[in-house]
Amino acid sequence: MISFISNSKKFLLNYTRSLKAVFIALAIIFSIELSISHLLKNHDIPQKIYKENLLKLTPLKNDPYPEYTIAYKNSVFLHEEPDLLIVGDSSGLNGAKPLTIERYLSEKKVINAACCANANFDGYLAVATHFFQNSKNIKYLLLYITPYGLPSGVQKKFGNDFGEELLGVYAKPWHYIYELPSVYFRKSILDKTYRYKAPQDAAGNYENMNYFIKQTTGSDENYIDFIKKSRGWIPRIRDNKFQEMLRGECGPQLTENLYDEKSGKPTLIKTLTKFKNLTDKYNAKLVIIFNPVVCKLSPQVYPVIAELDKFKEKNPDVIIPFGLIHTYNEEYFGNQNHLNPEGAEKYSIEIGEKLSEVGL
Amino acid sequence: MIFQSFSFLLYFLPTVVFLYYVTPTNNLRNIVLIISSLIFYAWGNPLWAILLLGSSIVDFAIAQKIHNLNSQEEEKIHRQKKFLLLVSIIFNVGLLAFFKYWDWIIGLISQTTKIDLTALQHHIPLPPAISFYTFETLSYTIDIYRRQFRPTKNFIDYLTFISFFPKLVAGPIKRAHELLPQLVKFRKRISSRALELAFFMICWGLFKKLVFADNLGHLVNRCRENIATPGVGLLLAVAFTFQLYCDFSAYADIARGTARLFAIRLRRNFLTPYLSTNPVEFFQRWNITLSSWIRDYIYIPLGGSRRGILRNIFNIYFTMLIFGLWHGAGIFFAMYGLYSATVIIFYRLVPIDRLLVKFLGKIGKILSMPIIFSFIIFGMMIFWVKTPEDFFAFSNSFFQSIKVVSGLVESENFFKLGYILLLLTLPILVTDILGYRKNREFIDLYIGLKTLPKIFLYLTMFYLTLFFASRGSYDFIYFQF
Repeated sequence: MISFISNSKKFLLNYTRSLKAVFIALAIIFSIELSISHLLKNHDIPQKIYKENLLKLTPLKNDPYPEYTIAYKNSVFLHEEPDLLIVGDSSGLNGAKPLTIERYLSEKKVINAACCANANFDGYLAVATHFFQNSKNIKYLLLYITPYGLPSGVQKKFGNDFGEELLGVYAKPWHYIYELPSVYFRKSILDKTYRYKAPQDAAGNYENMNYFIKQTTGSDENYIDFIKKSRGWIPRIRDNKFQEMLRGECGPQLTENLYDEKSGKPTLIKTLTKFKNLTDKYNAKLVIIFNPVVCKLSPQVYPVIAELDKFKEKNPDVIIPFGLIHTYNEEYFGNQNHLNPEGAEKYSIEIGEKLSEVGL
Repeated sequence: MIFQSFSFLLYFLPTVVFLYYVTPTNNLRNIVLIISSLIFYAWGNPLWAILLLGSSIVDFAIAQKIHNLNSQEEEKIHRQKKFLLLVSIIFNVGLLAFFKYWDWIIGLISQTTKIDLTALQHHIPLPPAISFYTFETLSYTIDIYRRQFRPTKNFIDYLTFISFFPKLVAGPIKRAHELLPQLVKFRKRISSRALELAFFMICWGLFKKLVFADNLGHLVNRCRENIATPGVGLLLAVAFTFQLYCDFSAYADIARGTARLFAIRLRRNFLTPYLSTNPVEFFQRWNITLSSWIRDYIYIPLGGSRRGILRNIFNIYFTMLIFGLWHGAGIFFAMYGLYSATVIIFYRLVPIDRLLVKFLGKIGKILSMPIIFSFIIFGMMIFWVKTPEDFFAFSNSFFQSIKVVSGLVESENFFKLGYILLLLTLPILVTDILGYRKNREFIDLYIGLKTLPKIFLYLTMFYLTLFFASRGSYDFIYFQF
């Protein structure tokens, strides 16, 4: 150890010399980035970068809906400075209407940044971290998930590749690499190289979503314009999976998602604790809301409720206003995990009222 | 853990290098390498590390026992040695067979006999690296049995040889006589020149993986989606051929660069394979460590080319069948092996390359490259397909490419995809040609470059990676083997 340290000066000098080309290249990169940042000082570099750095922009292919939605929301709502931020799965995307919730909260701004279950809980966490890093105003983080989308269930169904990718791009210490000013030109360089324009911001890419919007609002407004106005909410109308909804008593389909496939242990508390740690770090409060379900509370789901109670006991300041099971009539659903626009309106009113009761 | 992750590059590797060099003795250094290798390997599932340890212990013990018997000459002792070798082979091949082939074989039997045996399938996912380290431990025992190598008495050295993380998951497959002597002696600190090369190897490997292999992977997917389009089969074949090469050679580059940081040299695994002039040369340049393993431990012991033509043909087919099946349990992997054997035998009968060189000289040599390449890409497609339907769709589109190129059939997608293919393969081809002229890989040329071209290389790699790399990378293809 001593010889290592005593000799290291000489060796370090040699090593530094051998990496001369690397250091000069780094200096040039630094200068290029600084110059771009200076030249584009009147442009909103982060907003464009946040939109494009997540996208795959692979040749001749539109980015998938989740990537596109998350990238777009993270960019367009960057300067909105919300008081309440909603993250979570697609039950949140379709279930929480910021404009409705806001009506019950005095002069508080709500943004719905929820998207899709394949982002997994790490993905929800990454999105939340991104907003916390860029907005000083967030006082409440609302994690909105379906009771059918507990951590182990999501892990089993979707894996965590996308979640890790989101963490890498938005939350890990190295995410700054993706935010270098030159990334501003990424899409245009790729478009030119591939001689193919990725249809960014173009209507018609996500026909389902545009169809839902048309059915709900009667307008031809495209997905992106709608999302801007609704502050992140998207309607979901009844689809062909509606018939497959689980009715009667809530049971094993929900409880089985509590346990990790490998270890057999429950993972809910561990996962929720990550969100609690994040809100603690930014002096915010955590709110957890589960999407309503058609099934009714039954003893079969008590193990999940017991886990939630344990978490609440450890973290009394976390707000879980409706508990795990909140039963709605099936007429309010698009399908099992998604409320339809009427259901979303009804639930958002309830959320607004509850949050205002607890002092938001 | 994967090479292209920031957690490996920014945390794991620097920490291990630091701990390694502050450790004063060789034994302790090897312990650092073992622990870090087990962490690296067990990142996904700790049980894998237990399997690796178990396999290592068994082979170490058997090899030691064989070596102890090596000094005695009696017939009885010879039988004991043979028995021990057989135990080692059965154990290793059995391990591989259980994890890799059992479910497939049971499925095949169920399908052909119409008797449902699927309850016998274990559905355990294949532990990564098992095909690589099984071959390494096997070669260790066989070499000792053949008295070609004296085993180490130090289990720590042996375990370092088996588990050394840079080559653990996807090779290069190391022989004990190449790696163990490096591990038993105290390694001096690496020279500044070696550090520079190691750093470049890692950067170049990452660049090849993230920019070329992954984007070629996307292109393969696009081609697959458009497989009904005439001619796209050809593009798919070329794209996959280059994807596999970029992906696997990128891993080898990173592995070699990483090993050099510990003053350990790993053998190269590729040497501009697509510039080969005949199939034998191709396998001498492609996945070199596996090809030579198969040659030394299967082809030559079977008799190689020494026992007449028919036996030689059988040996080639058998060896290449094992080569194909080593990659995985699937009928198309077996077909890939048999197809490769057929091409080798065809070239024995009709040595196209030699004939071309004889009549056309250097131009003939150049012409022989695209000819063998066309055989290679067809073989790669057999390697790639999973189902007969895939194969027929691919073949149909593949053979229509002549019509598209000659303008008999219109295909807008063909030219769109073809342009992207050109964009992604041309740089690889150019760098390979540069290396080929000196009978080296492109990375070997780096040290001879002046500072300015080196800076240019780093800047190019950095910005192309920043712009063209997907944010979520594909796993290395060879992980699945």
